[in-house]
Amino acid sequence: MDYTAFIRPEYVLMLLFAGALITYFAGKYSSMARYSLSLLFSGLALLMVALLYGKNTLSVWTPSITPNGISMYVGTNPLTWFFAIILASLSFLTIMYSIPIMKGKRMENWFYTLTLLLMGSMLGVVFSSDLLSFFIFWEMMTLSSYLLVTLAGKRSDKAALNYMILSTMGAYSMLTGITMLYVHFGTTEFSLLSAQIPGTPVNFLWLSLGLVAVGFLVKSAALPFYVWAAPAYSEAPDGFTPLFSGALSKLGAYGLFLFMYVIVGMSALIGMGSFRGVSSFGYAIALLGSITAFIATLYAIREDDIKRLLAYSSVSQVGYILMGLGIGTSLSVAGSLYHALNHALFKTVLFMGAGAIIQLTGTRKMSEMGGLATRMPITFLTMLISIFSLAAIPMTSGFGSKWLIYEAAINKGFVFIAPLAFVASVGSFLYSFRLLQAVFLGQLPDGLKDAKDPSLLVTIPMIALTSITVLFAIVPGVPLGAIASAESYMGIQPIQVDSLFYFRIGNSFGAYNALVVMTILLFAMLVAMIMFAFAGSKSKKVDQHDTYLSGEIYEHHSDLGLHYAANFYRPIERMFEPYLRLRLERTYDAFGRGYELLSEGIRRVYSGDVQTYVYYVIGFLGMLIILAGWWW
Amino acid sequence: MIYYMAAAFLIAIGIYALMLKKNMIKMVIGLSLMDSGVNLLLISLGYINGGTAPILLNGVKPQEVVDPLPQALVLTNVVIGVSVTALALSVIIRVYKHYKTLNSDKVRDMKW
Amino acid sequence: MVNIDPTLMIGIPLFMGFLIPSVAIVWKNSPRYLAGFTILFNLIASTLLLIRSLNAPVISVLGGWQPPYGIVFVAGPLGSMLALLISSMTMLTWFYLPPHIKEGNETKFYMLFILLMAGATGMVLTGDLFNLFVFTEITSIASFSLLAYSRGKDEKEAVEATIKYMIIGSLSSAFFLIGIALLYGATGTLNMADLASKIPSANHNLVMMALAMIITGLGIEAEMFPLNGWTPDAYTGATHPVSVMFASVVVKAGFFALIRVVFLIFGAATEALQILMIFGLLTLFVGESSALRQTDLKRMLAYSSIGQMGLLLVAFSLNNQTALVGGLYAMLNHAIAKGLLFMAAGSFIFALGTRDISALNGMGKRMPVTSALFTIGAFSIMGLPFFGGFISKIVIIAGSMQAGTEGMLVAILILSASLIELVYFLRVVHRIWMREPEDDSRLKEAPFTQMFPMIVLAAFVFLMGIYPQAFFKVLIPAAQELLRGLGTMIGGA
Repeated sequence: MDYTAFIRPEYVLMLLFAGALITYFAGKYSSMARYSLSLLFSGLALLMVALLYGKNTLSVWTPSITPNGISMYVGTNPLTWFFAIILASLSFLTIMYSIPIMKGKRMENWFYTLTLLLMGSMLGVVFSSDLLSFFIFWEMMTLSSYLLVTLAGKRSDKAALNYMILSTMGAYSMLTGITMLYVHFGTTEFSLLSAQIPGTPVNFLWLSLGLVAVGFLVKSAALPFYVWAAPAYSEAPDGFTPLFSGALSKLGAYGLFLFMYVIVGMSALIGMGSFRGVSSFGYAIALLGSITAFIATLYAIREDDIKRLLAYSSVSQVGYILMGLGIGTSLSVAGSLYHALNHALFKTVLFMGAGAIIQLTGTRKMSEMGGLATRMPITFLTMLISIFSLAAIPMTSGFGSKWLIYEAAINKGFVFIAPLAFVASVGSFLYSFRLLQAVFLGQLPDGLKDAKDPSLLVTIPMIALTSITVLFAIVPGVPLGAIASAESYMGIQPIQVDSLFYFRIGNSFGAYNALVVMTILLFAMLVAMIMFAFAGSKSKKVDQHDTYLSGEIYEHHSDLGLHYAANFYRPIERMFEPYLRLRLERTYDAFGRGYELLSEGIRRVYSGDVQTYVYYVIGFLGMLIILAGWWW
Repeated sequence: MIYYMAAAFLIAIGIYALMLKKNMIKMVIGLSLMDSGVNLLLISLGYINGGTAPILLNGVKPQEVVDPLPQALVLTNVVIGVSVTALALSVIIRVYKHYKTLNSDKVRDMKW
Repeated sequence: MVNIDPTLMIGIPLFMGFLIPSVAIVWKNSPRYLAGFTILFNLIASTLLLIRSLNAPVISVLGGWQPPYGIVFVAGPLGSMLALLISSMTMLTWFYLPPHIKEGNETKFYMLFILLMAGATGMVLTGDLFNLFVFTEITSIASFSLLAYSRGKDEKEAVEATIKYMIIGSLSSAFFLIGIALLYGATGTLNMADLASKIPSANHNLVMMALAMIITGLGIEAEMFPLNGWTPDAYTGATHPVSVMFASVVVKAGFFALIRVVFLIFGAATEALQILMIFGLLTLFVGESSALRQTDLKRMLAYSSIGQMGLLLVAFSLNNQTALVGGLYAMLNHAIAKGLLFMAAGSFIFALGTRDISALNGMGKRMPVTSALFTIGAFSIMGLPFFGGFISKIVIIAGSMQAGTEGMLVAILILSASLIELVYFLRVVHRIWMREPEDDSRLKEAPFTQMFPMIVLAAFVFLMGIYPQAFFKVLIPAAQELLRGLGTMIGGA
């Protein structure tokens, strides 16, 4: 039998949706069936997605669903494949990781069902080739991720609701834009749409694209909408956060890529107005991205809660992705896509590690951890490399992507975006250092003496993802090759990839040879390690409170802030304190409360007294009669 | 013309009672008055001064005949009005049983 | 193909209404079965009628008097679709009835129940304006009495709601009748098609005055703000199956009457549509906002109904085919989903003994099936994909986009209101599934007879979400019928 006939995106989606259903019913009776089936379905889907590489398909999914006979299409192309493979592999690894992490948690069965459903709908978002199915999958994705967040129980109530409300707001804005496009062009299929774009009034494009972009900006937690992100990422069940932050947050960027470059296209985008050769629309996105990156970094620096720190870090890293996306040059788009990949790799590992540590220590406060490096070497190493990648330290692939984005920003001479990005980058080094120091280094608290690495099911995904991070640092040509073809699909000049180790950055900036850089850096690291090994023997281990108490006997209270991780970056916090107090959350809260108050007032209209209602009726009639006399 | 004015007057009294009288029985009386007003209005629409019953005997010209249709309508509406009034009054008895008042201000347990 | 005269769909229930109390004297259990058979008859008749009317409108002349002098029944695709909706919702409610109505009073209840169906069916099928008034009154009186039906601890609220509904409802009928009188005075006819052709040449002021009166009169039945003061109380005070009937049958028939008058008789008068648009948006926002802070489950659903009726008004007043189809779809979806919600809420309240939303904590564990059904209904009203509400929302938005800049504003307002709706429904659904109950004991699910209608409705909600084409086959001709007007249908007879 020719199995390749089944390697089509629609079958991937069907497999996952059917899989979710089967897993639910099978999982009700046996937990073993639940684990193996969810692994099987996600693994199979991953395999199918991987085999889709290099294919270009487009097929009708269902015939005419609305009165005007809109059909739904799915298809794949280099851009969707690039995102699909990230999403599919992360989903698979997260499911594997969740088996020990989510064991015995509430509604465990639903967790796997919903994760498969989410995987299906995320892949549906990237595979869908028309506006309607895009929107349907988008809503499904929002709903299933919302449900996954709520699985954490009462603690996550507010975060989940806020996430859902903001997402739906974004989705409705998107729906408005989408219907505008549909009503104007009379088609929903992407390629037919993009063929009609040239010659469209600029105002119309701004309005519709802007409305659609709001939906994506909400999902990517960009500036005015980022308030949902930190609570939702951090309150979500530990098994879901890696997927949430690693995979789902990329879909906002995917949507922007899709609408800006695939549907509207570069030339029409430039036609909407440009700024130094960059489309104004893209510039606005880039600006939002850079400000988001900056602000979220500041918040991350303050956090003591490990998941919240990582959550803010996610927001800021997605800001980088948006920055590169908006600038829209060959370099920056490559950087943006590459950073999306890298962020997916390292943030997933970090959240997985954080989840494992939280399960072990029972706390999310970093000031109650410490010294875990010796007890959890695998977790430590994988997280260390991921943190390096996050902080864009050379030798990890995070370096390459951030560098590309900087180069692009500098190349264009953006005096606002580039510095913000740099400052945010320093900030990300600061908070990742805090993470490293507070959790893994220093002294081990008494309660954690017998801590050890989590089970293989947790470490395998982490090791797998980390080794990809390292691998891609050495051979950036592999991901960049896929990125280049995605870029050419989007009608952007593809980045030049000369060999696996080597790529050119523009023509003026020369080239980056990963192999050479890596060798030099490894050598330097080795020298440093040798030096440390000789000098290290002089150090002496002391109790972690001795730094403050000088050996005095003292009741240990973690809330006294004596842990070295408490108030880690006090000076920086003090510097930005007045600004950090102006939190956008408050505006949203105030708006929400204000509306509730307003509606409390509105419902007083229904006074309960029948005579009031008689007044309303007579008043309404009187008004109509007056209108009938004068106006009509 | 006088009939139209009388009809308008009756309707106005009904609305007055509904808007300003707190007593629910008076409100129902108001409704009943409005109903009568509407009936009068309907009748006067088809009424021709000095016309005869719409029975086409010899010598009766169509334009001298009172329009029969409004009369049929009024008959129907009278029946409806009676039943609504009766039902309303019986409900008011039950309201009184529970609230010990007929004041519409006081009968507002359900609100907002 | 058997042809059943639409007149029989009114005649037989009316006749049975008289028969039920008399047979009940000799056979005590008969009312339920007699009522059931009557509803079944109407269900079959309306199905056949719908099939016939898709080809050509079915016109039935009463008493041999030709229109425009006699009374006619006109069943186009739209009217017969609604007749089918009414009879099927009545049938399903009939299944749902037993535990909610008490022994002894059954006879009266079933009699009124059938009358309600007959009145509502008459409202959608009649082609004569005064006849419309009579059927409106039959429906109203039946609903007044059904509303006052509660005994025991619910009685106090029920009578309060009844007297409010009665006063406002009678006011509405008075205004409606004045409007009819004025129209008759201006044109000298009551046949709808004839009216439609004579109105352009009639006295404009008089006609507009009549329009104002009729909009006020029927607006009360259609829950239009600010005429809907009776609505939340009536939904709350009624026994659960009666709430279902209100949401799915009475209000839909009233709304349809309003739409028919505005569209068919007044030829979609722009002035009236503008008024409907503005007040539809107001209704939408007032309804949804009032629901946001409710703590009473049924009252929340009632306000949500008001909001949905506002949405329907907006959709219809956009007056283009897409929006009309969307509006009709929303109408169907709302009748089905809100019926389901009221049934499920009824089962919750029946089991819990309270209407308080906070008592629903953890109901997903205590009454899983009912909770799942409630969730399906809520998801559909919220407009999530794969449920009927999603399709209707999308189609309405697409329709409003066709109305230019103004339409865009309307779309944004509709979606904002939809967001409010999402919030409060989500809160309830969240409570049901995610909160831990204070009392963990399993509650008894409703018996199968009650579960059956809910399951059927839930299946329809799904079907509407995943296979909308089936419904569009009927809805598109229905929308075209509205747009085309009555003139062509009866040949201006």
